[in-house]
Amino acid sequence: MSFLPKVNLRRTFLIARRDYLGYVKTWGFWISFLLPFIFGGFGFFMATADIDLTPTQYVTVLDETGIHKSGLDAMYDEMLEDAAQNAMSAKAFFIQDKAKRAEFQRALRAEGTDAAAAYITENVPGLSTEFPPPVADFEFIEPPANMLKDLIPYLRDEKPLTLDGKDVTLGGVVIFKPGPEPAQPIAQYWSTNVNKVDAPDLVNSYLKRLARVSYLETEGLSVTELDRRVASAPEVANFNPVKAGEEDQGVNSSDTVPFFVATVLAFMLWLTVFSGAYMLLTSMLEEKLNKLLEMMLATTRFSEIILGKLLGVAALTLSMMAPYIIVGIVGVVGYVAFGPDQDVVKGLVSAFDARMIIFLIIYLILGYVLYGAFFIALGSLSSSMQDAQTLTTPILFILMACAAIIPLGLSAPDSPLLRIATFIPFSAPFAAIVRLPSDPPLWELLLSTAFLTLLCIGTIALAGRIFRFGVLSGAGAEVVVAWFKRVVLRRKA
Amino acid sequence: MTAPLALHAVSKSFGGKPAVSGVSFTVEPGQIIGFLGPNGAGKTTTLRMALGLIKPDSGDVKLFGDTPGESAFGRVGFLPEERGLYKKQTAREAIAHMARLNGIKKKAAFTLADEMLDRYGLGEAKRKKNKDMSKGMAQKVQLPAAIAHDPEFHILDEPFSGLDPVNQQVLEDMVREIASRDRTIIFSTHVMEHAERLCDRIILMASGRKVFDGTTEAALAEAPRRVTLASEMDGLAELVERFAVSVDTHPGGDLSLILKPGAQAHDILERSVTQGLRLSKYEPIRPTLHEAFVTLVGEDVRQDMDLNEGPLA
Repeated sequence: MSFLPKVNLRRTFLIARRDYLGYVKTWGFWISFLLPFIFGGFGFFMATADIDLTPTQYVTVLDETGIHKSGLDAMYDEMLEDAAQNAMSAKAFFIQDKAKRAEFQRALRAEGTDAAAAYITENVPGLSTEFPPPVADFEFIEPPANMLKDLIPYLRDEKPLTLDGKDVTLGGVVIFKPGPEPAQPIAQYWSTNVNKVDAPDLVNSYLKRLARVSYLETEGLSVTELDRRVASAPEVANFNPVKAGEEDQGVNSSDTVPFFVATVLAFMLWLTVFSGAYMLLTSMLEEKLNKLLEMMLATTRFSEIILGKLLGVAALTLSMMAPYIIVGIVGVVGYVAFGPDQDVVKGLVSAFDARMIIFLIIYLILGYVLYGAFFIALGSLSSSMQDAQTLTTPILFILMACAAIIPLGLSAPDSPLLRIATFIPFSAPFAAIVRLPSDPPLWELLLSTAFLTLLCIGTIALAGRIFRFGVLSGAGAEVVVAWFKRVVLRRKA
Repeated sequence: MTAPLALHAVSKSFGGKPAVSGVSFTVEPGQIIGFLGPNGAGKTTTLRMALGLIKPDSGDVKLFGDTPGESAFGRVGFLPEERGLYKKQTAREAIAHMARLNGIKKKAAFTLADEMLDRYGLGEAKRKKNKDMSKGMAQKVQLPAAIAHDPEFHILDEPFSGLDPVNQQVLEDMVREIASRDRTIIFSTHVMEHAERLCDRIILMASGRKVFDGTTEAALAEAPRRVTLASEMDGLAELVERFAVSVDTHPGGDLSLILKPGAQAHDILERSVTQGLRLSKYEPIRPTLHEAFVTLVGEDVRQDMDLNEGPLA
């Protein structure tokens, strides 16, 4: 007697093909397939169409003290300069030379965008110094009236306000009133939009700065100098002892990229397993409700139907994931070929080493088969979508728990929880993948794979029995209990 | 020639409740067999065991002389009691898919599907998706799907259920067409009239047991023979007494008799002529399988089944 069930490949292919085409011909498949392109196109359109989704808010300042408006304006300019520095910092991505990149970043932080642009012009010829100008969420304008009571109609949009020939609405009013000390004014913010707090946030920053300035400068210290020194303070250098034998022992992108890649791959694996298993459930339920299985069983083995479904939905899931996979592969290959940051290139190459590719394929197959077989069995026991939801809830909780442990791979790849999860077949595919960049012992991976394989075989055998029972019975959640008592507990009804 | 199906003392219980008890019969090549009985009589369970879909608790099943399973794939066409089609397939795709599962090549399967749909008057459904078909049409498409590969042995479980009288007649014609090609057919039904019209042999099931197995004529012979008589002269009731098991008098004066075993309707006719009693009505009633079934299973069993499992048609 053969250990593995017999299958006729032609019949298995025909069942897989029908399942595949059955889904491919639906609108839902094409919407899912085209979703990344639709989102990409939408994003491109939004970026190029220059549509302002968050129109600028116009805020005015009534400064009864006569000393704070100019300070607030200066703070506003600094805010724009910070935004410009953030935009300019993206240039570092294109500077291949590590030393030049570090110097560029230092100049940007300590001396501003003009100094950083000058550095690029001088040291990185060919790299543009242009960057998108920062756009503030709000803008200060001159007050249309000098008393709050006269500004209220503008805030309520009861009175028109024209700015550069354009009708606008007054979004807020900042009021400074004299306080106990010049550095402690009473500040108020009036607006009908209570959720938009960009302007009051800036005022708060200004008031905090004012408190520091008033304290430090009475002691004869310069706040500007303090800020400059903080910006140009040295940073801690990270080293990894595993790299002790290497020329450069410092931690850089080549060390961190594999962990990010593994986390992304584990999430993709989870998504593939989840969507594949769920499609198997609905496919099985459709067969059950269509009452076709019994007719097929006169000419087809149970094992062929299960295998055909697993293969058909696997092909379908891969088709649905294809746009993401292709974009991912093109992105990685493109960066490895043309990417400016060699540390990232090195990290990508090491992330996709042979071990990762081999174990990714193994865990993808085993994870899909394990959850797929469970969902097929549960689908065959269900007689309605409600039944299916009730029966699959415990497995969905397990899958959710598996998704929750994946991020641990970034911060604590060798945490006890991840190590234990590697040996639990339900979580092994995801836990093992996120641990791979931290070089777990090979025996752990092999043992984990062995446990998973054994459970897969057991699950398929069990799923076969449940499938056989479920298909030929009226089924429904209530019969699961009866079946369990009779077949597993061997109790008489 | 090997018998397509042979069951020997087959029994099956579900959760301790017997569904089929000690059933034995053999289906010979070329026969059309009506597998009769009310709902819950064990017909579907027996047919599923015949196909190997479920294993009997005891007894032996042989399909084409072998254990049911792969060896019979392609030789059997099975139409289950609960039926359906893939909603998004067209009728021709549905038939071709089943034909291909039974080993027919793609092009030949689609040609065959088109031919069958034309032959059975379903040509208009060829490119119609199953979800857009009427229930009756979808049910009629399922039979060609089950038998597209021209199997030697057809197992049809309640093929007429859910169909209106017109479509039942269409399906009867389909079954006759299959039989005309010397194929073996066993079909279950709880509607006796179909079996009366189509079968040359019937097997009656009740409460999981086989209660009759023989020709239709032999089954009908088990049914009580009835005759309705009327006369404008006195003495008819006394004349018929010796021939009848029971006599019912209708409001108009007509008498309904159930004849004693061995008594014949024409004996009454001869007797009335001899005694000079002129009959104004003489109507021997043709027995039905329904009556035969009631006789065979007994009134108590029938009433019990009526109460628990729905009326016997």
